[in-house]
Amino acid sequence: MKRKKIISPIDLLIVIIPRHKGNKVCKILNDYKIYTHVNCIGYGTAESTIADLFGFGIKERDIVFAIIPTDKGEKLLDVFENEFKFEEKDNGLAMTLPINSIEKKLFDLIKIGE
Amino acid sequence: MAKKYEYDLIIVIINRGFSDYIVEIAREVGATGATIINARGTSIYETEKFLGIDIQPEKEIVLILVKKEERNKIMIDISAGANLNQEGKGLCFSLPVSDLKGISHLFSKSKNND
Repeated sequence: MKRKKIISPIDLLIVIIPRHKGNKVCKILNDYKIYTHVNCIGYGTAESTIADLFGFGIKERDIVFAIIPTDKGEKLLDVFENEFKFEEKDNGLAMTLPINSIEKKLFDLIKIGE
Repeated sequence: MAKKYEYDLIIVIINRGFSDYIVEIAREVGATGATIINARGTSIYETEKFLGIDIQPEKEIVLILVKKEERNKIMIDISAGANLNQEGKGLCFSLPVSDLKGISHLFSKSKNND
């Protein structure tokens, strides 16, 4: 099935990084005038079921969700990749997902940042 | 980067304590890992009252990043394995990822194995 291309002016940014680094992500977002973000606590799974059973290899994570204008997405991903060294293992990752509708007040908050 | 490889983000929302089972099922069909966030459910069908106090069930949100072509199989297996089609068991959906950073070390690893 051919996937329909989604064109959206707003994306959801998700950054998954080691615990206690979420504040740094939020600071970078603030520097880029993006104030619509939340920082959650989570954990990553171990590499194997056995490691999970024994409780080692489970990595504590901070997960940051942010609503961003699409045109800032690529730049932000590059900044996070350089800042947190994503090319190395277990340093985390970041992704953007398209959003197809948004509530007006939140949209105004994003535009205020611009 | 997602420009070369297309990815989807599978999100599974299940009752607390069942995330390990979901991750095990996902691993069996090719997923490399997951990120888990604790949450609480606020659905009107699940919230109960006890002595006038709202009791909200504890939930876990499982985020699994997969390649687009593997998404269907993984979601079908998760739904079947965790009985998500039964009431109160949870739900599973996917979102497209428009851009992604932080998985390049996986490709260099697979290149070395070739």
